[in-house]
Amino acid sequence: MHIMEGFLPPFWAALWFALALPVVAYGVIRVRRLVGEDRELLPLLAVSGAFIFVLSSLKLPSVTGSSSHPTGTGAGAVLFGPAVTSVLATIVLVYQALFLAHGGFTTLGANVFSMGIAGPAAGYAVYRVCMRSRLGCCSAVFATAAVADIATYLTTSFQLALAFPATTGGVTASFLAFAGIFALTQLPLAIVEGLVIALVFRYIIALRGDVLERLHVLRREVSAAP
Amino acid sequence: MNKRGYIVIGTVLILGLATFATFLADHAATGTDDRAVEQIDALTGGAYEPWAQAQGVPGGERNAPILFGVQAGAGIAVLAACLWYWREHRSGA
Repeated sequence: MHIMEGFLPPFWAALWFALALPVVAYGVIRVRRLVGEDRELLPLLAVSGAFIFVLSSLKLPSVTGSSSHPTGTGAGAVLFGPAVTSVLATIVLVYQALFLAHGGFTTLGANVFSMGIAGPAAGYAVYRVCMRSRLGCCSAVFATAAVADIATYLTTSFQLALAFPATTGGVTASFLAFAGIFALTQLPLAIVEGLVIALVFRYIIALRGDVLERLHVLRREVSAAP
Repeated sequence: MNKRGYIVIGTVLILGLATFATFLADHAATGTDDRAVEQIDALTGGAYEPWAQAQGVPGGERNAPILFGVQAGAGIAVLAACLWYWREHRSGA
């Protein structure tokens, strides 16, 4: 989902920076407040970041013949919401821009917006709906992670379509072309990502369901279940 | 399982996943990021010139798979350490 260095015209690069920056700044404030209130949340925050670090490092082949990587933002979205996840995603994206020539600093705002904000926000919305409809926690986590992943790539497609509209068909035609590249490749990877995160989440619930309850991630009766 | 057992399993996991990430990065098919660049070329007739260049991978492109491995290894180390910490400080334990 990385938009490469210099591949967004300056206007669009600046716009996505302007949209991403306040959310990341709010995320930093939230992180400081959360950790200040409850030190037990620190490992959970580290786990959320670790998911992004690990999963976004895996360049997996997909059905389209292209390779892509999961985003790993679903866990952060469930546990802390999109603002905090945007901080974690920013750290990973800076590492990748600095050391791997993946993405870049001119496109950092756009990449943070798609991977750290739009994807997790879509996932978080799905999670709330799943929990309200009393779906099991692990099923909800699976859906959240998969939707966060796909939504990230759809957002990237939209960002590129806005910057490079097709001569015939405009932004819509361009969006369909980019989504054809990103979203189709991503679909099986999103399902795998959802399964992996749901499995690890299940283990975390067994170990520290009480911390998840304090974050209102779990309903009391879910964590009490065997 | 004793502490040494967890450390051994953790180390094997970290090295295993880091090696796996390195292998994948080294043998990856064309990435979607590169295909998006091709699509931009197609949409603009090759007229778009990037206004900034990536500074490149430290030490050259051949180091990229290793740095992907480092990323994966660091992530799995944190994950394993946290799960181990929770196991030791399990609620109600």
